Amino acid sequence: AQKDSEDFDTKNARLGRPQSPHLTIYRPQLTTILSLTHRATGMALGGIVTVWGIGGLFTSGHFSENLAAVESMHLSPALLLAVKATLAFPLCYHYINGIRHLAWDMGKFLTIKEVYLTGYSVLAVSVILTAFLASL
Amino acid sequence: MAFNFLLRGVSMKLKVCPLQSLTKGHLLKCSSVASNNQFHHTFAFQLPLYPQKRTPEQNILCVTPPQPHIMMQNAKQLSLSAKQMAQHDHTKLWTAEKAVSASLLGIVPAAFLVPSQFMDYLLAITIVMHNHWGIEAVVLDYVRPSIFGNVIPKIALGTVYALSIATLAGLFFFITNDVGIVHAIKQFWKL
Repeated sequence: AQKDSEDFDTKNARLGRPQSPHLTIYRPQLTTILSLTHRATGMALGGIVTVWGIGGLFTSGHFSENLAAVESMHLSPALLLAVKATLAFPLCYHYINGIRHLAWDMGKFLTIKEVYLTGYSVLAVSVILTAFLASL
Repeated sequence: MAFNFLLRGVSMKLKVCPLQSLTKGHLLKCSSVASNNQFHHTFAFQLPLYPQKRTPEQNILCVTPPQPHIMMQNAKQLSLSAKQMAQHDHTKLWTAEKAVSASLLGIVPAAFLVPSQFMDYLLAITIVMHNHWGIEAVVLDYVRPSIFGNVIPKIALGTVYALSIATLAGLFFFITNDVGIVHAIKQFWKL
């Protein structure tokens, strides 16, 4: 036990141990779904930011023209609303759930009851906030 | 592994337990957790705060509860493998990550309510830092050596760094040479 220079995974592979199933057997719950969504929305927002940033290296100076080109396509209001809601939801959800994460880091709301209560609240507030922002 | 640390400590010098000196070598029997033998043994490997001559009485394993910083070192020794102890701890980085996350709670609305080029730069910096740490965590979680071998995880991590630097540069370029982040979003939203 003293010779811990070996990685956990390497050691168990060396001993030929199979791994227990996890994602395939565990019942989906609010906790895991919200955590997954937090990561997924984070990655989505990150993707947008990265594409914008790296794209900006090539297209800077032309934003207004490009926007005018999109404007001239006269897209339907319904489509525009859907696009805005799709863009707003990741930001709203990640922001509100981010507050929940920071509360946990301060040691608050860590009982199962509170985790579920704050979890449902985060969902409700995110949806309402998304609807508000998309309507602007 | 933890037991080895416990055994190792037995040979090191021990601080005199005040209880012991009061009772002239006899151990007080006490029902509190502090006098439990196992608890005493746990702190047997602390270094004393001052050099002492060892007497037969002092060899009895009776030590006072440690101060908080000693407890932290002990906890770290018990909870980290030998390999991990060679690396420095990341508590300051964790704190920085949380500070940036908390600051974003204020910066994002403020950048839209009180727009300016300065707020755009601040928004870009904090968002890229936050995003970098987040994506780095995802890559470290999923692109593991046990699945991908030894080379690909390193390349993946390098790519995260490269993308973050490029993103920050691109956003700065956009803020300087184009309409700016907040203005762009507001114009797009007016469609």
